[in-house]
Amino acid sequence: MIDSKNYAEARICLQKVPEGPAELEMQKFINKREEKIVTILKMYPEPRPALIPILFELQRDYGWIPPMMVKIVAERLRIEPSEAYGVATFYSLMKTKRAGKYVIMICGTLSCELKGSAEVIKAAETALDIKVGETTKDGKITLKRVECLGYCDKAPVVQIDNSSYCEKVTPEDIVKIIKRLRNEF
Amino acid sequence: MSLVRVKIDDEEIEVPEGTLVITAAEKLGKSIPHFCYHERLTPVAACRLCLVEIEGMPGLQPSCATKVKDGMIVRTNTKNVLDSHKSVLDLVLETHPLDCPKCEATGRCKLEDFTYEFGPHRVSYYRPPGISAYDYEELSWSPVLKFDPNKCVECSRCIRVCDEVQDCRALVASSRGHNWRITTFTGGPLHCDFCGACASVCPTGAIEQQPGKFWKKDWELEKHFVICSHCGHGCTLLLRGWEGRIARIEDDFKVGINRANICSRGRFGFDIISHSSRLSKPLLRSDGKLVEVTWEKALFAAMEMITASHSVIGLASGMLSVEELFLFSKLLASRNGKKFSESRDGDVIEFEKKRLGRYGSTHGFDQLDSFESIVLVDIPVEELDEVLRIDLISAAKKSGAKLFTAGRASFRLKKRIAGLFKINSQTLASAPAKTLFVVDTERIEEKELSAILEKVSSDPFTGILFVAAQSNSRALSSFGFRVLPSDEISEVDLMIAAGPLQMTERPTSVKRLIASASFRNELVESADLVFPAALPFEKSGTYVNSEGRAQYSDIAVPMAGESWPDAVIWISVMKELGEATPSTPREILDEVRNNHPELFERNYPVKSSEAEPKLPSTRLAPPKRHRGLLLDKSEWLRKLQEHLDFSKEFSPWF
Repeated sequence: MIDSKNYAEARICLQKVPEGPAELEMQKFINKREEKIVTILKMYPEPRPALIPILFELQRDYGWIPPMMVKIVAERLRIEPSEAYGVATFYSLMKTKRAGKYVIMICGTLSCELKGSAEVIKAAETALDIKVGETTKDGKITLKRVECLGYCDKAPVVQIDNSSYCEKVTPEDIVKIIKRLRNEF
Repeated sequence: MSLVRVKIDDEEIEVPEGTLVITAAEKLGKSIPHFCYHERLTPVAACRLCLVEIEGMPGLQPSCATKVKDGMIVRTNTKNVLDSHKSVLDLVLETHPLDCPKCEATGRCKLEDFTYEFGPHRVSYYRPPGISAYDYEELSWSPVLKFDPNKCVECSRCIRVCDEVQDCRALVASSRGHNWRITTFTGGPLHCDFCGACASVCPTGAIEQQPGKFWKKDWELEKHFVICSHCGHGCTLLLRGWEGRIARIEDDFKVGINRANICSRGRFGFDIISHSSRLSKPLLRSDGKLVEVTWEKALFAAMEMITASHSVIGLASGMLSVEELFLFSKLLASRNGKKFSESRDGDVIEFEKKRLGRYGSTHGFDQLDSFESIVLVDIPVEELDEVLRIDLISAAKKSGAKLFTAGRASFRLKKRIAGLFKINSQTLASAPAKTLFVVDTERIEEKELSAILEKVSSDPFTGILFVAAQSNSRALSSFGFRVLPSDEISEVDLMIAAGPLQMTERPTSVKRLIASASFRNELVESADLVFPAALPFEKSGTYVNSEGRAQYSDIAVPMAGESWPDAVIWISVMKELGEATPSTPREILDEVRNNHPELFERNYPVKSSEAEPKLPSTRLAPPKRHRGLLLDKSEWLRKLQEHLDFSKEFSPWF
C-alpha cells in the first residue's frame, strides 16, 4: 500500500539538513544575548509579539536568520517553529537565507517594473554571475528583488543595505554600483 | 435564534440570523463557486471567486464572508457576477498546470468542476514563451502525503484546518505576494501525525495522499459508510473503493459523530485487511505443526476439544462487536466457562455500576463544551483517542473550558493545559461545579476512581467520561468479561481466545488453546486450533463507543480467503456442540436487545436537537444513488446467510 518509493522519498526529505549552524552552536550564540532578549520580552504583556524584535536583534549580530535560530526563539516564545518561520519569511528585511556583506535590493513593483527594473536585475545578475536571491561565491554581495520601497517618483530604485538609496538606476548604473562595492573590499 | 428572510435570485428563503450568504444559497440549491470557503473553517474571503451582487452594497461582495440581513436581495446569476467568476478562474488557470489527465484529483477537483460550469472554456492568458513562472519541485512531505506547489490555488484551507481544527500548525504560509506559498518549517518534512486533513480539504490535487494514488478515477469509486474500529471513539469513515477493494478513506461532515475528523490510523490504516500475514484457512495442530484444514474438520476438532475439557475459560478482545461478544459469552456459558478479557473496561464499568447504580459515561463527546473545566486523569489522549483531543480543543476554544491534567500530561495538548489538578477528597470537594473528568479505564486507580465517582454522585453538574481502549470494550461488562488475572489462572484444560489480542504466548497453565485470529502471530503459533476471522470492514456488527453510543457498521468488502466473522464461527461451534443458538443477524440482535438493553441507550440526557438513533436506524445507509462498495451487496448478504444456514451447507455432519 505505502510503497517503498514513498518511504525513500520521505527519507531523502528528512535528510535534507537545513542551512546554517547546529543547534548547540546557535544556542550558545543566543545565550550570550540573554539580557537583550529579556529586555525585549519585558516590553510586551505576552511573549508572542516579541518574536519580530528578537529576530531583528539577533539578525543584527549574526548577519542572517538561520532556521535553527527561528526554532530556538519559537520554542522560547512557546509558538510553533513553523509559525515563526512563516513570520520570518514574510518580511523582506529578515534574511532567512545566508546573505552577503552587502545586500543589493532592487525594487520590482509596478512603477519600477514599468521603468525597466527587470533589465536592471538582468544586468546585475550577469555582472555578479548569480541569480536573484542568491549570494556570490565569495559571500560578499547578495542580490534581492524586493517590493515597493516607497520612492516611486525616482523609479527604478535600488537600495544598498539598510542605508543608501540609488534613484533612476539604469543597467549601466548597476554595473558601476557593483564595481564600486567590489572596490571597497 | 431569530429567522430572517432573504431573496436569492427571486427565490425566498428563511434562514437563522448570522448565516452566510453562500450557505443560504446552498440551501436553495444555487451553485456559487468557491475555493477558500469551507463549512468547517473561518471565512477569509481570499480567493474572490464567490462574488455576488447584493442590492444596496457597492460592487460585488464575497458571499462566503457576508452575513445575511433581513430583506436582503442577492443575485448570483447576473452577467456581472458570471463574468467575475470567469475572469477569476481565468487568472487561476494562467498559472495552473493543465495536466488533468495525469492528475490524481481528476473528478473531485473543484477547479475542474467550476471551470466546466462557469468557464472560461478557452484560457485567455498565456505565459510568454521561455518563462515558466510555476515550476516548483513536488515535495514529499511524508510517506503518505505529497505536495505539488504548482497545483496550489492559494486558498489556505490546509493552513486553517491545521491550525483551527487540528491545533497543529505544521503547515504555514511563507513569504508574501507572488511568492506566497504553503510550506512546512524550512520546507522540510511535516512535523505532525499525518492526519491527512490537509489533503482532505484541498480543493485541487496540490496535497495528495499517497496510498491509493492512481488506482482508480474518482468517479469509478463507490461510497460506503463504516464505523472505524481503531479506538473507542466510533468515528464514521467513508470508504471509497471498487469491486470490494478500498482505494482511500474520506470524511463526511454531515455523517457520524466525528464531524469529519479522522486520525491517521483511521485514514491510512485500511491496508491492514490485505496484509500478507492474513490467515485464509483454519489451522489444526497435528504432529506438533499447524496444518491447513477444511472448516468441517476444524469445527469437528473444536467440538472434540471442548467436549473433552472439564474446565474452559474464554478470553475475548474488546474489538469484537456486540453480537460476537454475546455469542461468545453464550458459548462459554453453555460450558460453564469463565469469561475474561484483556481490557479493564468491564471491571471499571462494573465498579461504577455498584457505586452509582448507573452505567458508562455521564456525558457525550458533543457535550464537552457545556463544562467550565475538564480534568484529564492520567490519560495520554492523543495515543488513546486522537479525535477526542480535537473535540477537547474545540470545546476549549468554543466555550473557554479550561483543561487540567492529573498525572501524565498529554504531549500534544501541553500548550492548552491550564494547570495541574491533584485528585484527592479535598481538591474534589473544592472543585468547580461544572467539571468533567476524562478517565482512562486501563490506568485509573481504584482510590481515585471512587473519589471521582463520589463527587459525580453528589454533584449533578459534574460528569465523567470513560475513554474506552478498544472499539467495543465498553460492551465487555454487559456480558460479564473481567480482566484476566496475570498469574492466577489455575490448571485449565482449554482456553478459547476470540478476536485480536495483545497476548503473545499461551499461558503455561493452559493445556489447549483454540483461537480465532486474523493474522499469523505468536499466539496463533502456540495454539492448537485456529479459526481465520474476518476484520471489521468485512463483517457487520454493532459497536458501543466511549460515550455509550451503539452504532451499526455494515459489510463493506468481501472476506479474505476462507475467513468467517467471529459471530459465524461461534454459532457453528455451538451448533456442532448441539446447543440452541440464534442463527440470523436479526435474531441475534433481537436477543441482545432483550437481554442487554443498557447497551443500546445512552444513560444521559441527550441534546433535544439530536434525535436519539435507534437500531436499525443507526445503520448508516449509503446515499441512494450509490450502491455501496460491493457490486451486488445482496449477494454478500446471501453469502453471510449461507454461512449461518448450516443445515444446508453441512448437512452430512449435522
